[in-house]
Amino acid sequence: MDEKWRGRIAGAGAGLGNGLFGGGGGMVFIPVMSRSSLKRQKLYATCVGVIFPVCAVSAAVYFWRAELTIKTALPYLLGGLIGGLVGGRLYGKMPARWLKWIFAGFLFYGGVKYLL
Amino acid sequence: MDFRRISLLRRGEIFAVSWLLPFLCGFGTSILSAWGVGGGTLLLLLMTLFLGVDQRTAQGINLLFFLPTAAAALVFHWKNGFLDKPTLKCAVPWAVIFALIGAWIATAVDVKILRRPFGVYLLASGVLMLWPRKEKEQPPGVNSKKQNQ
Repeated sequence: MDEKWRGRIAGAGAGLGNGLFGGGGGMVFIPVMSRSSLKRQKLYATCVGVIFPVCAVSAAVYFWRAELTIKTALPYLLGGLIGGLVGGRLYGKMPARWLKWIFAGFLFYGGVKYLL
Repeated sequence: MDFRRISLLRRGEIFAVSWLLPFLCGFGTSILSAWGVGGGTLLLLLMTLFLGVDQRTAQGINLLFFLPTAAAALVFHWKNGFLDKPTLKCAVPWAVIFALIGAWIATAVDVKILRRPFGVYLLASGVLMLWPRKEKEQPPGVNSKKQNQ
């Protein structure tokens, strides 16, 4: 496939999914783009570069059209900020592999709950 | 005396529900995503399944939550030259337009309609999350440099 069209389709899919479900656009972008010539490291970084504007405009739409307020979001954001600092410090000191399995299990649990 | 105790308890409860638990969820999610585990959907699930946040608000919070972390990561990636400009040029305009469409739909329809698609999305994410292990065993030529993580 033409590289330009691959980029456009990956972007469109990631944007649509991310806007609809409020996240997870990278889960669309990475698989589509992983067949391009981009190296792994560049691929993940570029993915963040695409998802960032996507999240920004989607969040603006949610602010404008849904019941979202800064006040409800604030405790999450504060926790996230401090968690990011702590997580960075502890990076590499925890086995990420079994955490990944637990998380995948949690995703399956959530998926089934949503489907039922 | 008893009334006061009850109201104190209730106040504590309100504080826990509206501040402490959200704070802890944000904290935990952020630590995990700094380790490359999880990302956005984890927080979203915690909010909707355990904290009783309605789906749409949870999605909005999730979007906001991503912004500061991503901004910090982007500065780092930019400095290291990891951002691929040709790809960004193709992908970003399309991504932004479709994000607007997606967000518009999500805020226009009854969110219950989105429950099933979201469930499928979650299951697919779970599968994809465990997938790369297999990919590593058969690197397709170009990605022979795969010693990360």
